[in-house]
Amino acid sequence: MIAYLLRLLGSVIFVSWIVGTLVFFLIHLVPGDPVAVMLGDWANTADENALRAQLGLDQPILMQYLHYLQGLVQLDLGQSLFFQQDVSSLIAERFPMTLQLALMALAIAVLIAFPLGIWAALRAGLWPDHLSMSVSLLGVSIPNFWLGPMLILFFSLFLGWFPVSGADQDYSWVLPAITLGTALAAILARMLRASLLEVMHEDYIRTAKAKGLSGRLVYGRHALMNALLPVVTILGLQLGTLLGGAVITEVVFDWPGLGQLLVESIQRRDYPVVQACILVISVAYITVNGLTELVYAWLDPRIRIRK
Amino acid sequence: MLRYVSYSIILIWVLMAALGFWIGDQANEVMLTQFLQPPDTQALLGTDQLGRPVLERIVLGAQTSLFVAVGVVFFSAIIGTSIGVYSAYAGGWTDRIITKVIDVFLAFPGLLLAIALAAILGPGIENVVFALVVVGWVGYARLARAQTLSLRSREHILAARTLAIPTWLILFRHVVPLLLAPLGVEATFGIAGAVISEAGLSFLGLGVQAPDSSWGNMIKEGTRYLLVAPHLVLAPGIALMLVVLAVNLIGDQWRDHLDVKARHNRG
Repeated sequence: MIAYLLRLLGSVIFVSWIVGTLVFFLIHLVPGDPVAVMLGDWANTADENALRAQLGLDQPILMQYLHYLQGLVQLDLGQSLFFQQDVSSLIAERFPMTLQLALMALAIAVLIAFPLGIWAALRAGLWPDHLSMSVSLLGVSIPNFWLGPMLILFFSLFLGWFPVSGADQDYSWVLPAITLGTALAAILARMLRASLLEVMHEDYIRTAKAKGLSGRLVYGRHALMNALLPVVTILGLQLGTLLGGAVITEVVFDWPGLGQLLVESIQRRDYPVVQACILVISVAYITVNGLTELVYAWLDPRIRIRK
Repeated sequence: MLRYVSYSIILIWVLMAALGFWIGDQANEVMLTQFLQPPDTQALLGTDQLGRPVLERIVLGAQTSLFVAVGVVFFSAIIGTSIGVYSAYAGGWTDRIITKVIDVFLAFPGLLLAIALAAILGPGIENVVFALVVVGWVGYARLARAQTLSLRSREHILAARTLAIPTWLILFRHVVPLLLAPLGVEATFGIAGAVISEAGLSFLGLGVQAPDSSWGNMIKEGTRYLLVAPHLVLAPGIALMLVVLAVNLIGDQWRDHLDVKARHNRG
C-alpha cells in the first residue's frame, strides 16, 4: 500500500510539472508581445523596456522558466499586474470560494442522482426508468450558462427567494450550486443506473435473494455497494469538469472564485494571474483524480493487489 | 417517434445554417428605433438591444455552431484516429510515449485548456475550432488505440501481413473500416460537446465576437436585459438545448444499436 501511495504521489507531481511547463510555454512562446498589449499603442519604448525588465521578460526563455519553477517550489506565483498584490495571496482569497461552490454542487448532485438512478434501475424498462432517464438527458443537454440565467429569472426575479448574484448574502450559494450540480447529477444518475443493472444480474445477488434476505438488504448492501465502484471513478473524473464548469457558472453569478478571476484576468491581460489560475485549477483536478484512484483502490482490493 | 423528432431538429439546424448564407449581413443592421421589441408579426422572435431581429440572428448562430461542430469533429477525429491507430499498430516505445501524452492531456481539465488557448490565441471562430481540436483529439485517439489493439492479431490482419501488403494499406483497408462504428458514436457525442463548448467560450467572450452572432454571445448579451426582454436569453438557449438534446438522443440510439449484448437482452 505504501509503495502504491508513493507511486501515486510521484505521478501527481510529474503530471503537475508537465502541466505547469505547458502553461508557461503556452503563454511565453505564443506570438504577440504581452508588454505591448498591456501598455497599449501609445507607450514609448523606454516604458516598455522598463516593464519588460521588471517582469523579467528581457531574460532568455530558459532563465525565465527556471526562475518560474524556483518560484513555484516556494509557492511564489509572481506579482499581479492589475492588483498590486501577490498572486499567491489573490489565489488564497479566491480558492476557498470555488471550493465551497464545488463541494455544494457535488452534494446537490449526489442528492439528486442517487434516488433518481436507484429508482430507474429498480423499475428498469418501466415508466419511472424512462422518466428519470429523460430528465437526466435533459440535464446533460442544458448548458449551465443558460440554466443559470433561467434560475435567476425564476427564483430571484419572479419568486424573490434567492439573491441574483454575488456571494455576500445568505443562501447566495444556492443557485450557483444548483446550476453547477445538475449536469453532474444527470451523468451520475445514468452511470449509477447502468452499473446497478449490471450488478443485479450477478450470481451473488441471486444467492442473496435465495438466502431469503430482505429487499432492502439485497439491493442496499449487496447491489448498491458493488455498483458504487464505477460511479466513484466517474465522480472523481467529473469533479474536473465541475472545476471547468465552475468558470462559466462563476461568471454567470458573479461569484468571486478562481474562475471569475481567470476570466477577468484574461480580459485585463494580467498574465501572471491567468497562468496561476490555470495552474492551480489543473493541479486541483489532478490531485482529485489521484485521490479518486486511492478511494477506488481502497474500495476494491483487486486493484491494490494487482498493482 | 422520438427518433424522428431528433432527426428533424438536426435537419432544421442544417437548413438554418444553409439559410444563413442567404440572410447574410442584413441581420446585423442596427435599428435603434426598434430596440428590445417583444415578439410580434414584424420580428417573429422580437428584437435585441440594437434593434436586430432575434430570429435572423439565431439562424446566423446556427451557422456558426454547425461550422464549429463539423470542423472540430472532423479534425479531431482524423488527427486522433490516425495517432491512436498508428500508436497501437506500431507498439513498443512509440506506443508508450503516445500513451503518456494521451494521459497528460486527459489529466488536464478539457474546457480549461480550451479557455487558456482561446485566451492566448485571441477571439475568432478559427481559434475556437483550433482550441477545441487540441482538447478533442484525445478521446478519439484513446478509443482508436484500444480498438486497434484488439484488432491487431485478428486473422485477416495476419493474413494481410503474410501477403506482404504494405502497412498503410493494412491500416486503411483492414483496420480503420472496423473502427468506424464506435468512432461514429464518439463523433456524435463530440458534436454535442463542440456545440456546447463553442457557445460556452463565446459566452465568456473568448469565442465568436460581435457583430458575428453565436448562440453563446447572444445569451451573454441577453443576460443584461433579463428583466425587460427575457426572450433575448430564452430563444437562443432553447435553440441550443434542442440541438444538443437531439444530438445526444441520436448518439444514445446508435450506441445502444451497436451494443449487441444489450440488443439481444432486450429482445
